Amino acid sequence: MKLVTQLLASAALLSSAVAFAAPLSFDFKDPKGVNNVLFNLDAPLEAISGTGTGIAGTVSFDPANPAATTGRITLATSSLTVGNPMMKDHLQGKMWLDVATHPEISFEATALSNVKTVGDKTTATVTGKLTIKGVTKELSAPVSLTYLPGKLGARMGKADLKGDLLVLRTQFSVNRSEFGIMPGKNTEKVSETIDLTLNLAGAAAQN
Amino acid sequence: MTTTSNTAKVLRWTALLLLLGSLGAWGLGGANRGWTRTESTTIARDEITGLDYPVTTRAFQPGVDLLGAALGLAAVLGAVSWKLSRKAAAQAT
Repeated sequence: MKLVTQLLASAALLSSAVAFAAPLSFDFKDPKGVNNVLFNLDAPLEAISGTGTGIAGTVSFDPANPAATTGRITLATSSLTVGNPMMKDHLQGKMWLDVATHPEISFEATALSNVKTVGDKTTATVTGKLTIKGVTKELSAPVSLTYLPGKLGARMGKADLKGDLLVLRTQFSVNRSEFGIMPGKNTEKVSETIDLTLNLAGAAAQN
Repeated sequence: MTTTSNTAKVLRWTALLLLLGSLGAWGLGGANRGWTRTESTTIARDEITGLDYPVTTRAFQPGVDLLGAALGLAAVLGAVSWKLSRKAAAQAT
């Protein structure tokens, strides 16, 4: 009897582990419009700061195995904006980001390394392919992933909505010349280095 | 008073009003030492996720580009006024 109980307990533990180990698919198209990218470039008069909020994409995340995280996040280039209207036109124009020809910037994560998990927070280095203005480069950046089980309903203000959240934060810099954005030009007016900060939350609804 | 003299006087006053008006508008608009902005962005925090996110509202804030253009125009009007004053003075003598 004791052996049967032990076998049943082991089977229950194994099945729950398998169920928990299933990766969840998080959708980063945020109905609350909170997901954003902040960008900053140095310039003589004042730093050029702007935002982009047209975020979409999915990330596959397994709370039991964060190192296996993969995904693809996109940013609609038409959502990029700065405070000065003429500067915004230049930013989106043919010479700079050419929004009409390149409607999105994308990052495809292929691997996580240096993974450290404490509670619901995982820090790691994400490696993947960043595509800007049709040019793709491999990039590695520090990332933090915070898994918030059961918080989807609270976030959307719907108590009966079941699901989890994944909060993704990262900061990194790119060189605009490497992506064909006015390469080597206007360097005395606009810095080559673009500092980027991503603040994203994805949702995995449970049916 | 000749027409030239009157025109000079009008231009001088216009230049002065433009100078003072543009400085006043720029100062009241926050004395922005950067480019003119038509949007204002503040950062808010999402309660559940703790994410910081931008909140953008339409707000006109004149910058040094507009101020520079207005002061430049005031300088041009002032210079034309001065030229006309000298011409009027020459005509009077």
